[in-house]
Amino acid sequence: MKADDFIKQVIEEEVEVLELSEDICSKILEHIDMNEEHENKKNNILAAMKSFILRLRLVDMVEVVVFALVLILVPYGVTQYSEHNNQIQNENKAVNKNTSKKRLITITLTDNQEGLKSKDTISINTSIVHAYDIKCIIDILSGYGINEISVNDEKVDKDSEIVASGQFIKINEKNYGPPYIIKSVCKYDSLSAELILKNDAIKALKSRGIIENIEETQ
Amino acid sequence: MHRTVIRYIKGLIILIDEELIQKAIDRDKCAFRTIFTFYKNRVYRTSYLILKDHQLAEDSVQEIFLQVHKTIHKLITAKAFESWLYKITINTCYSILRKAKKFDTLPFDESIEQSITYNESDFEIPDNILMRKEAKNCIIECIYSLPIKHRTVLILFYLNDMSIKEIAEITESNEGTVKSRLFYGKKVLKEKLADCNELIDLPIGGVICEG
Repeated sequence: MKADDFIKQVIEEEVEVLELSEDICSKILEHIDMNEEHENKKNNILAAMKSFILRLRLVDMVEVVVFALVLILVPYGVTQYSEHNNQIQNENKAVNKNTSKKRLITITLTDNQEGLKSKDTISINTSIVHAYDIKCIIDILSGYGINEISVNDEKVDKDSEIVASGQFIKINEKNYGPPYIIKSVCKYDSLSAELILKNDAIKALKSRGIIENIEETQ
Repeated sequence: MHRTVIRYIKGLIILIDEELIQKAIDRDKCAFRTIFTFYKNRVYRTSYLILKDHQLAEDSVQEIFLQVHKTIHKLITAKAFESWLYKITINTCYSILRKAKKFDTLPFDESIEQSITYNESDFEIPDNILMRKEAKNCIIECIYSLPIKHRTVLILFYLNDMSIKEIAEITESNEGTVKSRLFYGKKVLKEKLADCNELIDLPIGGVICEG
């Protein structure tokens, strides 16, 4: 017999009677089943935790997206609002409704020197600036909603006392001689042009030659 | 590495093939139980020869199969199953021995061991039945007295029919080391057997009385 075979035989004989009992086998399999159950539970918990973390990440992502949208949309909205506002202001300018800048209208009345040389009494009478002429202009300006009016730096309104006093005109108890400078502050552009071109009373005063000048300044 | 094995155990034909192992890898309970039924006593016997203790061997079988069940899904190929199973067996047994502080190492340098040459023809087997029985006892005693790593190689080689290459893979050492451990084991066994023959005062190669 070969040495290898002999040793093999000896070793096999030594352990051939050794067998695990059924009780131990059942115990081992039971233990494995318990372990498997435990592993399954652990895996389920892990899966639930992973799912929870994933959900948290989704919430975070939504928050980031919302924040990004706010960052984009708010400046965009502000720009749009600003542009819209500018557009409204431009449109207002286009219809001559300047709401911010005030204009000074200066109307200078003085006696028509040419008319005074005439021998005709009527012509002389129409060449002189009367109190009612000044009141007429004040009424016209008040009709445009203008409240700030002065005559020779004397503040007046449509109810102020403006009466003839010999060669002078009495305004607020004070006598003034020509020229009569009527100043008013208005909010409209080109009011002077409108007065000259469209107002019949102004046209009439101009035809009498007593309106020396109508001036508009900012 | 793995072979298809058909075994007749307690009236049941058990076929262990790659398909069955693959099923066990895929968490098939029935397949795992079949594998357990087939390998339980092999693992138990291997463990016993290493540990030389019935109780510890039983405990090791439980620990080994528990570990197999836990980690079988990590096995890449079903072909490597048997080597992998014995690797777990050996490591578990070593771990138990370390805990029990019974893990002995080789008393001399393995590099010296590589140079040992062994001539198989020197090994003489007694023909006398009584002498042979005595010789068996001597060999078993000698196997248990061998350093643990040498004993492991002998067990895997003779009991589990493993090749040098497979043993090298299981014990995580190179083939040369496995060969030298095997030859050293055989040499010690031969010397022990010679001593036994001298003790019982019978000439080696007495009357053939087999059967």
